[in-house]
Amino acid sequence: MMPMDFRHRQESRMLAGLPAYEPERQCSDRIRGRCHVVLLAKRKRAEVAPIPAEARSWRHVFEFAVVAVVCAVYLSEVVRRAMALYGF
Amino acid sequence: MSRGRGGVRYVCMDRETEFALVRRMAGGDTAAFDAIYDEYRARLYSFLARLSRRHDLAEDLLEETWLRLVEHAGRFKPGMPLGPWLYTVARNLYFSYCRSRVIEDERVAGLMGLWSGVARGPSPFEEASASELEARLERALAALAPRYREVLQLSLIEEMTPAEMAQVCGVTPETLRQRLSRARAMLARQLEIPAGREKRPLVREVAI
Repeated sequence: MMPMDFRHRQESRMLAGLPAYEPERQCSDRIRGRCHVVLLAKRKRAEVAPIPAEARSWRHVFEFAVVAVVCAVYLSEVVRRAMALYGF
Repeated sequence: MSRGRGGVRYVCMDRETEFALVRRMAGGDTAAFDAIYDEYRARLYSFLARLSRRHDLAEDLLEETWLRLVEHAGRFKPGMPLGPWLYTVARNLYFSYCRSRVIEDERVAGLMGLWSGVARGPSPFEEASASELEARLERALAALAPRYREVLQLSLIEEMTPAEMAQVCGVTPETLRQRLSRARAMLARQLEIPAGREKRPLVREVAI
């Protein structure tokens, strides 16, 4: 019976010697191609001139104001109709 | 599936070079991606193929892993090791796949393409193995539960540090140490069993 440590060392060496496997060429090329497409799209997005911070903040304010007005109009109409329904 | 470097230690690029490549890749540099891809492709594929024991599944998971990398490359911080990150994503994808399958024992056995079935032909790995010793070792490794297989691979094939392995497997270093010790003992036992009579993996071993 071999001592446990020795046996483990032997197995470790054997495992470390196992070969690496390559994916099929077709698969490998497909992965590379898909990743390139994603990366190129990323680069294109980055190259588009970014909106200046000030303009971005004004845009947020404007968007918020428009949404708030639309919501207010909608809610007031709902309340008006509900009141009309109950005869107020 | 083709054989790569047999028994040759991987020469890893240093962390700074790796990080520089990741930064370039985050900016959309395809050449940087190619350098990283060439470095890790075979290693990740071997890890996934041995973990899943199916090369079609390994290829799908490999693809998903690389797509995750290109999507999240911008989040890398200096000093963040790329290797363990890739292995973490790969193994999590594999275990997510396992969890998503709610199937019966025999179906699992069929899907996983067990190695030791008498009626079955040789597995892709056995066919690709150059020697009887390699085939036997692959069979012994395949007979272990995935969580033991992964620690053996990370430790002995990828030569990761215990801290890196614990990070990849999502366990504490102490749990990792115990798991590795158990895995080694189980592998030793598997190798003692005469050829063709290795233990068949149980269905519950497919899940974490």
